[in-house]
Amino acid sequence: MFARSTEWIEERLGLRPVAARVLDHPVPKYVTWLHCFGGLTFFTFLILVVTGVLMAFFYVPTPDHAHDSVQWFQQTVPFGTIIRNLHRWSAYTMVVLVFLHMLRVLVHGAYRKPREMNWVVGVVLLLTTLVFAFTGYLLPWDQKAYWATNVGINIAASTPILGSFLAGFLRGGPTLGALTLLRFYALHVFALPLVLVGGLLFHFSMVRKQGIARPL
Amino acid sequence: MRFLGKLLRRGAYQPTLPGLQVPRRAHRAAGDKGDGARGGRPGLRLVTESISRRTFLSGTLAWITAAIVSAVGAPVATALIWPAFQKSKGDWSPVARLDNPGPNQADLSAVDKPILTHFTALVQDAYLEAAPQNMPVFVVNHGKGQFTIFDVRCTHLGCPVNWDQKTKKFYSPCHDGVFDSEGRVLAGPPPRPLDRYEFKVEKGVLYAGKLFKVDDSLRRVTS
Repeated sequence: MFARSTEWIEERLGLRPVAARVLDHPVPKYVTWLHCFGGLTFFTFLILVVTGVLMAFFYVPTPDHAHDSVQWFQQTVPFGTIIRNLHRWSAYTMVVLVFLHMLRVLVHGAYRKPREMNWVVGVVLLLTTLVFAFTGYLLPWDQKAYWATNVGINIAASTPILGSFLAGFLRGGPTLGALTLLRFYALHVFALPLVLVGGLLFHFSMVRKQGIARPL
Repeated sequence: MRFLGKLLRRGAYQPTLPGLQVPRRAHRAAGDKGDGARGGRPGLRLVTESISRRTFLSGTLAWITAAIVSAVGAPVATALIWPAFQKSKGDWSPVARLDNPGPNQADLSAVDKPILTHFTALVQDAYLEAAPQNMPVFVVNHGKGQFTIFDVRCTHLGCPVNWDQKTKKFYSPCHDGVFDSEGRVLAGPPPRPLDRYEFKVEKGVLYAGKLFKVDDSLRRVTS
């Protein structure tokens, strides 16, 4: 159906050899199903991006509107419940999968030379995922979200020396309110995606460059 | 798969399109002592085109990917375009008390003279059940309880029109649109007469209802 269109583009850009080089990559014999956790984590991230971008069309990050806009999205907008729950369950699954992925790398000893840098990037990605989960949890702005974030910020406040600064930074002031919601939202939809996508580029290109580690 | 294909197929290898190839039945050529002799209906034999493991897997992968994309994409696309199909419900909003106007209400006693005023409509704005919205209008009292409530927005691009009492015309400040006292287009680019609101008078209070469009002979064209 699109044969002529693809030929038209191919004639001008010549992308087929590039695609072949990227996709037709030999996979070593010792790869097992356990090696899928990384890719599955990325898969959940893609679902989170799609559903998250859609919800950004309907969500209002202010204390007087956040809860109402979420309720309205779920009850009135078609497929609202499905989309929000896809986001929620993908988020839970992503956290679980990213830990399983780390466990696999640990057990296989795949973090050893020459892959130490990729391990470090992986840890950054893991922490970013956890901050994603923490910031996203506040956004529905219900009792559970409010008090869970309260506890989370109190945990940050117990850090030696820097504690009160960290808590004030996370809250955006002395009270958990409008600025807290807004900065969690900004982190969740603007800052963290940039960090995560940047880290993923490093992570994936290093895997490609170094290949998959041999089993022990 | 390849073994089966080679076993059943006759003829030279032909490269196939990526995707799943369904085995198909073909008539046996005359005098062919092919596999049809082994069973099944006489005169027919199973012919398959061999596909490589790679082709099979990439085809399967493409179909699974398409299924996942549509499973996630269909709800997302539906939710995204759904607001475009929502219509405003429209309810009656008080404009002014006629005999004894309130402090912020216009005096509408002058007959056949458009008075610029506004009313507050409580509209459903997504999750806000009753969001107050200010609606500027020209109200014309025709006497005997008859009113016309004009939307102030020019039907060209929505600039608020002005009433000129001397020439008895509405003028749009943007592109020289001119309307007569009944809202008909006299000059300029506006495509139709000024839009109007439904009106009703109840217990001495003028109410504005739904906004509607009229054609050149001032007949209502939208419900």
